[in-house]
Amino acid sequence: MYKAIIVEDDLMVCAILERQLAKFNHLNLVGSFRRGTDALEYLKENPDGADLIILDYYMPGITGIEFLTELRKSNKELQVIMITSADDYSVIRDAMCCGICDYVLKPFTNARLEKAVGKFETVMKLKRETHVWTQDKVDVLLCPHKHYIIDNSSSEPKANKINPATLKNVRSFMSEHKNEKLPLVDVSAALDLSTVTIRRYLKYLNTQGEVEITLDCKTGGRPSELFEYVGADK
Amino acid sequence: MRNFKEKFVLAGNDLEALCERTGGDEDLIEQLMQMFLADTSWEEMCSSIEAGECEKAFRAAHSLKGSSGMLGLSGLFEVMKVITDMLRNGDLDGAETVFEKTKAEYENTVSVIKDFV
Repeated sequence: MYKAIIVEDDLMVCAILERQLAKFNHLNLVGSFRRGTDALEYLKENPDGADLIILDYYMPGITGIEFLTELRKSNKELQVIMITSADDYSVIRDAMCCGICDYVLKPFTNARLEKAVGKFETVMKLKRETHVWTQDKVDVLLCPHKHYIIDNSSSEPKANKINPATLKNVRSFMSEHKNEKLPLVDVSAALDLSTVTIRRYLKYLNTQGEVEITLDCKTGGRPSELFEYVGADK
Repeated sequence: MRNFKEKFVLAGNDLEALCERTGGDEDLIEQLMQMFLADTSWEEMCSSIEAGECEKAFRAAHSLKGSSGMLGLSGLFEVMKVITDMLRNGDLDGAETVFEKTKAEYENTVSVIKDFV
């Protein structure tokens, strides 16, 4: 469950946001602030008081960007979705410089809000589960809109390149060696498939949470990846 | 409520958007309309334009633009976009030229809501 707070001075928008955010099972709205300074105070007193901030731009006192600038001095992890009618490029650019997760213009649709929350959840899941930051993972991190989670069935990267029979073989071999950290070449040799192909299937199983990837730095040369079957039940 | 919804639509507003955002909850719609009537952004914008305080007028206009958009008050939202852009650019004269049209739209919106709340 992720903790969310709203920083928004417009009571009408707050009422709508509270209603809409309640629909997301993984979000728990723990606070709502009319001023950025009050939210900063809350976060100072409760360093783990939020995983997600829904942030407006124009508010009494400090703006959303001033809030973000102050926040980022001490916290680079908190995810922020800006929801604002500020439609000028300079504000959007400044928000991007402060590492926002998404920028949603008012008036927003439910579908767009769902997409923003999906992006947030994708980033959180990736941060939690990634041990080796491969290019694929970096790409998802920077463009989560291409991979955002709305339901669990929607995101299976490169599923079209996965042959069910080969997948069955790879999965079967890996499950027979459960909890063993296997180098790519071993799996490749055992199944008589190229390392490129095997890697694709293992990476796919990694996205499904069945295989974990770690780095072996004791090779004497370049670190190599180790693949470990951890089970299908997530 | 049916009467309100009909008037709301006939006045050019976006009922579908309002219902989508509120999940069709009539109590919430009524609460939002009351909040809109209690909101002082319009008065703040008018007095700031009169006083020649462009930045202050812009902030108030921007706020009204945001809430009117969220409530599906399409006619008002459209005129607020125009006047907000002018105030953002410091164009007080331009804002004054569109003020009457904006005022008519605001008053029309308020009368539809007052009938209901």
